[in-house]
Amino acid sequence: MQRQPGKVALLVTCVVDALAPGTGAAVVRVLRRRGIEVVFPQDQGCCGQPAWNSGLVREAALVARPTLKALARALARGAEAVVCPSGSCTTMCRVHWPELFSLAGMAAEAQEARRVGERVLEFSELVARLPALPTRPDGRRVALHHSCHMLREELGLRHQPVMLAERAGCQVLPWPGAERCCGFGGTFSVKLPELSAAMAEEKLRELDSLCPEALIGCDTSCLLHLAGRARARGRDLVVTHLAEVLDAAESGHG
Amino acid sequence: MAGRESGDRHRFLERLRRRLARSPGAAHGPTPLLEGEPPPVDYAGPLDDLTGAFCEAAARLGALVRRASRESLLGVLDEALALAGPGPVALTAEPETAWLEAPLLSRGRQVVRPSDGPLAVARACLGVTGAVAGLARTGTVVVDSSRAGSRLVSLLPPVHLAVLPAAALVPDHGAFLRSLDLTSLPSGLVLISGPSRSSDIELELTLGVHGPGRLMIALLD
Amino acid sequence: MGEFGLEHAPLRERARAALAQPHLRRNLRRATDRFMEARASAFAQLADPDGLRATARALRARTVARLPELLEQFAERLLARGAHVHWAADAASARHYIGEVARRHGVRKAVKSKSMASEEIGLNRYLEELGIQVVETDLGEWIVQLAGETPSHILVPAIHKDRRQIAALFGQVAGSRVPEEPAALAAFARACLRDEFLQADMGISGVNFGVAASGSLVLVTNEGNGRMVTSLPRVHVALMGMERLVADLAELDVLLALLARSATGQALSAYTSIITGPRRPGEADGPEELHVVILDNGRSALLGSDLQEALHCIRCGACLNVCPVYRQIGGHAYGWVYSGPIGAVLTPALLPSAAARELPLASSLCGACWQACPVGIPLHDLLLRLRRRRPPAGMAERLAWRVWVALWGSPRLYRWSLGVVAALAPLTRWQGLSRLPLASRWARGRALPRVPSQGFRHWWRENG
Repeated sequence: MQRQPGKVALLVTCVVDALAPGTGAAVVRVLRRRGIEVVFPQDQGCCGQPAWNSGLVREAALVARPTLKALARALARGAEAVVCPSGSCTTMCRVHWPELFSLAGMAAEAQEARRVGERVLEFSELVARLPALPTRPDGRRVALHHSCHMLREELGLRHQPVMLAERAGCQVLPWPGAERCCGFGGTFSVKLPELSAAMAEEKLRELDSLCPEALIGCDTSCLLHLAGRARARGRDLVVTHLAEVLDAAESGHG
Repeated sequence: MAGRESGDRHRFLERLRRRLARSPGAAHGPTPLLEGEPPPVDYAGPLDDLTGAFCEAAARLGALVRRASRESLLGVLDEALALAGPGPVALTAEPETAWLEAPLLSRGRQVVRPSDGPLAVARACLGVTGAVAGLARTGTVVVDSSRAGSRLVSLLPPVHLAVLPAAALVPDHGAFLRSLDLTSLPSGLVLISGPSRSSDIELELTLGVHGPGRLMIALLD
Repeated sequence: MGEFGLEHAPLRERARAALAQPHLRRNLRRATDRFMEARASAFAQLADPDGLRATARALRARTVARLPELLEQFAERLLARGAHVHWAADAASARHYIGEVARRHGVRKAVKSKSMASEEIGLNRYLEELGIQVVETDLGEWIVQLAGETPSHILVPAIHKDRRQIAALFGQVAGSRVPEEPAALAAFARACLRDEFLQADMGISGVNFGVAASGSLVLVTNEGNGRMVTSLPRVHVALMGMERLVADLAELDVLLALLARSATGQALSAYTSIITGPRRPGEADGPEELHVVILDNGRSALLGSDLQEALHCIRCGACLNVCPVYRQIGGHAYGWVYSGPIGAVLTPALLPSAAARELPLASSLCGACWQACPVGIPLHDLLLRLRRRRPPAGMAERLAWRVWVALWGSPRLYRWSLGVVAALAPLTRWQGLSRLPLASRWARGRALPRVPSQGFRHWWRENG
């Protein structure tokens, strides 16, 4: 889609829904500021990824199905796209849903998932195509974490987050391990917790000498995991989703 | 004389055929299969000057490259002898190298032939072979051990001098490999790109673990 | 097998044991960073790296799809050249054959160049039990052999050892002190192993690629030990995984362009040997007998399954070098011959052990392996397929998932559960929370997330 959509549905993601409402709010404001109407299908839930990554097909499909249907209804009622503040959830819907429902023996849902999935856009993917608005420059030196799902071939979103951060007036620091996996990995974080924490530790240790004023990114799960490790090692770090950085810069409220 | 076969070929391959006949059933669909011959590998950057490129690439690998004519080849040989120090010289009887026997003898060097055996070749301080091709992009010399009569002359002595006719330069390993006649390959062909090397100890590069630590290439115009 | 004697310990324990070794982790970081950097430079020499990877992927797919006919052609060409061929359906068959060849020739000492397949079938121990001395000649493999350990990285097997440790090992061999400088250590190894090469009765090698159309064996090495092992002893035994074929030299072109670049960032390794048959009349050296052992050992089980692509692997090691998990724990924690992402796929596919079944969990599914693989194997996807074959089995976990589905499979109950979380928010400041099951695992090295007392839907109600 090249031109600006008039109306989008928000897939807020379970993590943001429960743990990071500010991020959802920021997404809505950023889009509304550009004259885009945002609808929020109430029946949405989780995209099913935690179970999918654990090899539990049926469980993932049962949980993803209501979300699929909620998005399908919104699209049928005039939403032109679905916006999602998470690279991993976007990948789940766009790339894996058809296979998920197929393997679960839900052929009709698999068909629907193909139609719905291709309309799901990650937040920075969409906003990068939209006009920039005047901002009160953020001014901070930030480390930008590129989450795995953003980078992989399926989404290929490497420069969009950087561009938006710079539009907001951030200085994005050169971080050697920026593109390395943070170690969250869904259930991996609790099945192999020491290894998961060690992966976060290495990324954060690289920041010790860079001294960023904030750590930003596009996947809340990664950010919560990195923030958790940062607090545990006693060097608290401001960790924020890109949507909130952009929203703050655009609204003039820091 | 044909080799012997053992194990159960039929059963082995039948198992493969049976398994392949199952459908993988991946939701993505089957992986695309290549059709026809793969096109030659495309490298970045032009390659106008095969000789220049070859010399540069070989030097970057730590090989010593000397351009020479048949007349000035003896000068290169002297340099190789100085590098190798005192001791016998192993020599192959290839067109580019066979005539070096007399000059070596006149320089007071014992000449070891492949037929003298591995221990004799191992005692040589320098191995001199021809080369049937040079690969410009990678600075590689190709030694045909059937033509050379030996696999060891280019392998055992600590210094290897390869005499490579410049006319045998080709762009890359693909150009060389695709030109070969599959029905008449020699028993041993080796593509040599620089001296022997290892980084097994603390990732520090050391040359000359097992194979020659010094490689000299005489590029014959 | 098992550096820490932990091969039967759960994956989590093996990972923790590895994490407790800062020296190992520092070496792994250095090695993998260096290889990745070198790989990037080497790939920049290609005009169209992604196109080449796609060609290589399609090429390997075709080879595996045609494997029976290509293997037949390969064997026929080998036999016509006077090489002997053994079809080894399993490890025992391969070991037995090689042992028999050794016995017939009165072999007392065998020298080996790098062969992961030989480790896979436990060849060394088998031959040693037959009274044959087996000497590894790849510098890193020799170091590891002297230490009585297993390799920790497929390209630099002794990456977990520093020069002091290596000097100590060599000192034991020498019976006197050996200097710690790498150049001196290498010179010592060269001298020792040179004697072994010259005395050995049999050489055992792996095969990087078998060329079906000519019956040739391709060996890709850097040290020269591969050339010595396959040229000096009078008998050469080459052990080849059955899937390691190319149809012809045009296919070899493509894979050679990718192999060394992906492994160490070299355009070509120091030595690419193409061996076609044993010594011929008039040649002064080379083995009198060449035996090629074609090994199945469970590989055929992958054919026709959704794991078939794992057989496309050309053993370059790129996936190890990019894997953020391998980087932290190294090869030993995987418990077997093949480590890193490809190891996490192959090991459970080839080995029926309980420890192997956990390996697909040793991944955050980041996908870096897939991006690095020169033949485009979707390793992250294969790991997921393996997880599907073995979903969680523990009772507590299965119960948890059932509860999750019951709550989150219904929009109403999903919203209700969010409300519960929000209502319990004040409790999340309670320290004891980190003693609860999942929370305690999260809390291993991380602070628990702060839970807001009002979730997104509250904001939406106010601002929708």
